[in-house]
Amino acid sequence: MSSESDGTIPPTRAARRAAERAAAQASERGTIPAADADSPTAEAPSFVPVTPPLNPVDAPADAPTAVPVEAPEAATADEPEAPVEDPFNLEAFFSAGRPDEAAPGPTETTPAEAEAPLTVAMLVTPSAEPATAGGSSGSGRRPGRRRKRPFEGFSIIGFLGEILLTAGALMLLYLVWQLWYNDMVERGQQDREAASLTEKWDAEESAQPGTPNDGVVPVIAAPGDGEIFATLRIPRFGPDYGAPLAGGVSKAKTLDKAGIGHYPDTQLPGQAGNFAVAGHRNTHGAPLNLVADLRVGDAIVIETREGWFTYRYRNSEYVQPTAVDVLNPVPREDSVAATQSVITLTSCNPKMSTAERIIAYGLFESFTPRADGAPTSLTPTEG
Amino acid sequence: MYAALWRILPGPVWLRIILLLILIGVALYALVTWGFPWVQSIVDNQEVTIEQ
Repeated sequence: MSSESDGTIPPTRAARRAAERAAAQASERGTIPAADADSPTAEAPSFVPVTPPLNPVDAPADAPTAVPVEAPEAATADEPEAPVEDPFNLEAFFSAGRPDEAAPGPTETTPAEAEAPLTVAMLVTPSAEPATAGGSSGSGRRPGRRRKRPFEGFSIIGFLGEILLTAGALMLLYLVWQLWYNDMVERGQQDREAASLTEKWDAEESAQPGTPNDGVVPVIAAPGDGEIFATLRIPRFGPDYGAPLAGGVSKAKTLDKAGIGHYPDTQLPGQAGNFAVAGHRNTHGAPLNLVADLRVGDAIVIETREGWFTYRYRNSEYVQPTAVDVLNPVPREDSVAATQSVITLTSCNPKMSTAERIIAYGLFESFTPRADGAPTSLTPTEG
Repeated sequence: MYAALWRILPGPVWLRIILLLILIGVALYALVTWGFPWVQSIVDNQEVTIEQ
């Protein structure tokens, strides 16, 4: 803002200019009598624009007579203070190039009162606070903004800069969304869907009770593409962990939507052979995010309408993306008849990469019919 | 761009800030609902399956 040094010189010039302009405007409207125009106000009207709104009410009818006497005294008496704020106001005001704003007082008043703003402003401004309050805060801020106008105009560089900054922020936001927020949201969705499937199947079971465990492992019908037929539960991944399991391994129908996908050409839970499934390790809820944390003997449970198929984790390996022999009925062995039932989980390795695949194997342990209730293998894993 | 936006917004500063926050919220909602999933469908390079 303006310092005292540049405040001391301009005031007189600015004041004179102000006076001329105000007088010219006023006389254009025909509001100022001739007697007033050549009165000593010529020195002081500099204060006029500062306090335009507050005058008409206070204006005494005989103000014009008081003016010549008091105004000069007041002005000189308060001279040390006046330059500090008045020049600033004036300068700022007139450099804004909007003399109209000084006019609201006169335009709103009747012709009879029109002279009052001038005189009262002279009386009030040098000594009283209204000028300080209204002047420095109100008109002090406004001109500051206006003065910057020339530099605020549209510029190609500035526009490009803002576009680039915005693009950068959007990319960061996208990463936050993909790697953290959306995974959290979809993880929760999958957990809840698995839980609601359990409820639904429990309700069906209580409506039509099945047989308790008789040692027979049921045969499950092959699921359609994208059809959710089971849920994957791994206590090591958390007590509430559940991932819907659907047929097929297409991203569009299964992996990106349901959660875990079953390789259609592999066997089904409980059958001799390989029950092979795939799931995201990152993004889309990341159902196999913690697959590398499995420890030997951890339960991998496939829950279906009929009951729970419990597998026990045995080992992992890292393979090329084309190592399809991990899907064989006996993994990694060609043309060998399967006698055991195994589960194979496939996901990406390393995380966020397509370079390799992580493969986790488990051996089938037991089947628990729904009539017997949830198996002990589902109890949360400690440590 | 943003200076123009600030100028277009009506009212005093506090009202502009509130309006701005609302605008940001709307933009974020649109991004999360439509924008980011669409981007993911394009740039998604997650491969988790074993294929020939």
